Amino acid sequence: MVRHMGVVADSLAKRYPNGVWGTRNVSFEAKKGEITVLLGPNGAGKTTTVGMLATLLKPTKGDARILGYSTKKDVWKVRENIALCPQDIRVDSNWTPWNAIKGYLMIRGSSKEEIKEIAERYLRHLDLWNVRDRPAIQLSGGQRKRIAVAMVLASGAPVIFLDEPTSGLDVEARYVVWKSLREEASKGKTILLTTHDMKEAEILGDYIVMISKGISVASGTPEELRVRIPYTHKVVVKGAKKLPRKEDIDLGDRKIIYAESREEGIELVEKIDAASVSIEETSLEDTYLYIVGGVAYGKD
Amino acid sequence: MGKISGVAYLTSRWIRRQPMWLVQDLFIVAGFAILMFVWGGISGLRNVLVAWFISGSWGMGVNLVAQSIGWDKQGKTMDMFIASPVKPFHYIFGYFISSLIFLVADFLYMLPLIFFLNAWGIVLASLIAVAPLLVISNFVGLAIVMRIKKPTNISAITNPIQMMLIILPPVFYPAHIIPLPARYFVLMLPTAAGAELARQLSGLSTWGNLWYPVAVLLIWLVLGIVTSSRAVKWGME
Repeated sequence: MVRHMGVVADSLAKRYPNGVWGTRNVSFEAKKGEITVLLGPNGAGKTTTVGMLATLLKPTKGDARILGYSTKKDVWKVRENIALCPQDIRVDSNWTPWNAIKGYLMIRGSSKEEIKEIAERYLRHLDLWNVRDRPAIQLSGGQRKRIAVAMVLASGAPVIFLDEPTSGLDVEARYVVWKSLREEASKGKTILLTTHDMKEAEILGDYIVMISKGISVASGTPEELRVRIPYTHKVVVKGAKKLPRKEDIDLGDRKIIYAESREEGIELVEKIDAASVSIEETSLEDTYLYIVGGVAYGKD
Repeated sequence: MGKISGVAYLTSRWIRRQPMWLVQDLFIVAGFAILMFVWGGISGLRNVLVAWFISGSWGMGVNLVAQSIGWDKQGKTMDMFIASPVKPFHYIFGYFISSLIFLVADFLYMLPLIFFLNAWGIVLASLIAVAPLLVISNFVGLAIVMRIKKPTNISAITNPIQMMLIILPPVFYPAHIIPLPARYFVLMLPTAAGAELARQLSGLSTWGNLWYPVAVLLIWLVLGIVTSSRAVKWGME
């Protein structure tokens, strides 16, 4: 079983020197050839988790295995097999996309011929080929971010960590990155990325791990997670005085009401004498709110 | 070797993109040579050769390497290096190699003067002093940059240290003009000890106490190694 796993995180906890817990208990498994998404709001512990997996941080409790190697005991073996695109990475403004990938591939031990071929392939994949000789300072923020993504994807590392790789990217650039990530996963690489964007997790992830307040609260495929909420529809209403269920969300003059079917949703709206704004199927976002609770339920 | 050359390749890009830094060095070398010649004649010129070797090697570690690593920390490219097969030795040595261009450039700028003065003895003596000083300055630079909380502050810390240890103590001027009890005190600084070692070996100093600057440099070498080995944390923090 474990042989097919790229990453196995077992009860990871990290307490920083200032006494703050970055994570308290994060456990999950990420399969080879899949994209696993760590999903959670800002401050949930996603970056701390990636930091421990990428050997930047030493877990206070628990351990993780990367391709079977312990992040605590086999640090150098782990590092040989991983590549990391950190959150808010700012590549050197003097690097061109070509320089960045070439240098990174030199570090990873590629030959001259390999570098030429691999660099061109990934620069084209990430839509950077036309600007390959321009220094990063002359490129947009999105292009600079894609340089870092291209570096780690081109690295050839079998396990790749990307911490919010698409934050700040425009729609087109996000799709370019998503496509590249899916292609890398199809080659058998283990890809672990963090995001707070539910849509991104739903579209991109083969497996999703929901993190809240430093704890992995749920995990599964998008389909498995979506059915964790016992409602299939949600109705946005205005003019409602009260909410039929405790899971319903109060947004002030608008409210979100959950229903087990479209018909039940319409009935509930009539029952509470409110006007319906929209009715749609529940999504991963609703599952997350249902599982985590939090601010929306007044339970923060 | 690939790891070191990869780091050196990446970390030397800024020099290729901003060659005016090298041009600035040319003007500083030429300017100080004129200044020293005007005030001290041929003796001033001989002394400025020693000073340039010392200030170049000291600046390389404390200023160049430390500041570059500081920016790597800030931009998180250091995290990319940590989460890879790159070891601290590859990373630091890669930076060292990419920064050598400044020492080489300074040497090339000094060449006409060296030929004019036939000062190869001074060059050799200076290189003997430069060897430990390069190691010390890199270790001191590392010890500083790895400890500071805000890497953006690195220039504000290392620039004053660089200036203080180059301009103030006897680097551009000989130590033997300082009265003896104070001379021992001043020569505790690594830059001053390095300059004095080079001057004594090349016969520019009238003070015949070779072991004092050697001992000072050895102590700094040990201190540098101990402090930087404690400060350098390559992940797993």
